[in-house]
Amino acid sequence: MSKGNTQLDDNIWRSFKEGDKNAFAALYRFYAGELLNYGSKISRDRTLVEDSIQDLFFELWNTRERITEPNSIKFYLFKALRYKIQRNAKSNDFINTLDVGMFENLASPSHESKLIRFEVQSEQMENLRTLIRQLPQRQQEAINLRYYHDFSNEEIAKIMGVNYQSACNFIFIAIRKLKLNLKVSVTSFLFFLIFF
Amino acid sequence: MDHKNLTVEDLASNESFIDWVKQSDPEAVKYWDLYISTHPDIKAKVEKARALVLNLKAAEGIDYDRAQVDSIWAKIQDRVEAKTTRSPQGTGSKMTWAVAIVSIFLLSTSIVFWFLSRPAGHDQTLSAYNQQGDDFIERINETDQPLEVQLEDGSTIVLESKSRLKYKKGFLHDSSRQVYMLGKAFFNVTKNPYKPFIVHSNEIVVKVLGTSFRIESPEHGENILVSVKTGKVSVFAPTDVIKNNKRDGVILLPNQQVTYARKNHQFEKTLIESPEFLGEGITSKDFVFDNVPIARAFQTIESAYGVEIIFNEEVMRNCYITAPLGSESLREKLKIICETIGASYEIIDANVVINSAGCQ
Repeated sequence: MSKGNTQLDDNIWRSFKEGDKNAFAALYRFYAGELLNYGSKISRDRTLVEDSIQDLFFELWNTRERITEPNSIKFYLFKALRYKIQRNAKSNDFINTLDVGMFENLASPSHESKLIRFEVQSEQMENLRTLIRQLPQRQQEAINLRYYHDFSNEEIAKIMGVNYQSACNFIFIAIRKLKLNLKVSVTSFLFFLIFF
Repeated sequence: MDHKNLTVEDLASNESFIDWVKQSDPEAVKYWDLYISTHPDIKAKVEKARALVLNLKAAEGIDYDRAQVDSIWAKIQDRVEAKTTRSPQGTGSKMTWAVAIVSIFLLSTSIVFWFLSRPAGHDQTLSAYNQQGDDFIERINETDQPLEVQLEDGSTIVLESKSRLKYKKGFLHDSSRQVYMLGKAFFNVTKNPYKPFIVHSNEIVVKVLGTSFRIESPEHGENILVSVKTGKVSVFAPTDVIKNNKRDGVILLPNQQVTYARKNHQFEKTLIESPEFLGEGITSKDFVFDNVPIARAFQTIESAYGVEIIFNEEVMRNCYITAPLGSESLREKLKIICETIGASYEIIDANVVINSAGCQ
């Protein structure tokens, strides 16, 4: 798994812009895992996330000459992916409503774990994941961006299209809730990784 | 920061503290190392917060599936190849299209579209309305009244005065239903997901599977207008423009329209002048808002008209609306709501964008 703070080689980005398909492949491989990880936080619809990543890279290739070098490629990709998933989800919902006339897809997100395939590392970890999944969707997203993908609060605000204070609030409120619940359910758990 | 009352959650959500935990910023490392050594009483909290930060990182590090990464890449490559080579005889690419078509159709039982894998030059030559041939059927409306033309597949086209329509004899046997039109016409296309319906009009190409829409494309007009009543429609610019500008076209949903400026090859997407309700179950009564959160009022409007309303949920959290709306037009409704809560709206790219500083 690629680390969040590892930067892609500048040369790869440059070659990609010049139309080098190997560089394009390298770019994709470098970020695909992280984008899938983040995508699963925005939507539990696996196909939707996959299609959006596909669209994202296809368009990235087609517009490569026009993209001025983003300061952070990762930030750019995350922001664009979020936009794509939302837009694709919207048109899917839209089509469904045309045919069925219902908004079921917009209802509360299902917690079917079949979409999230991970290895249960430990009972405690599973416990924390369960608590995270009980947070409001946007708090989950902010937590994912902050603690796993290492974005700053300012970048999170920009990716999620909210103001800076809201991004800070999402994170703080989520952390407070997690801490309270952890205290109640598994008191000893917090010391689990102290010497990690 | 009031360090005396620092809580575990204060620490765990503090950016500089997180940097210290991850050892990613030397400044933060220096600061917190010093701080902790000079404030021994905070140590227990620091340890809890540090564990929480690390556990969160581990919990979010859900392993992804390599096969998934590979399969997405295969699809991206197919699309990139299809675009650069545009080879007509690749059976592989034909298969891909077939699979794509079937899966799209299964996913949404409604109208979808796709790019044809046929070579670009082919489309371009066919798009000329004035091509010659004995095997074409042409209908010209020289009256002052609209003329309804029924095609073999059940689709109907209402041709306005001075408008012309042309299609090949037995065009239903081709892989797609291609017609040529100049002037103004309203199309009601019978759905057939296996045979897209393609209208060539001047230099633009409109592709649908089944839907109703209108094209205004006078032979010597400056602009071409396509507006959608039902379904989903894609509008493409001429192939050479696509190549140079890398612009693939525009997708339109009901109540949206696009104007194509022929001179500078620009698409401009917006809402039609008077958007209509999308479903039959929607009545004026749905818009009687009595102290309703603004987000819910917007949602009612979004689903009734199929528009997207973009607003800052956080900022507008305290906005409530009381307004007995009903049969006003969409723009009128938006205007009244905005005036009530001291906001304003713009229509940008067929979306409604609300500007608001929030409510007290």
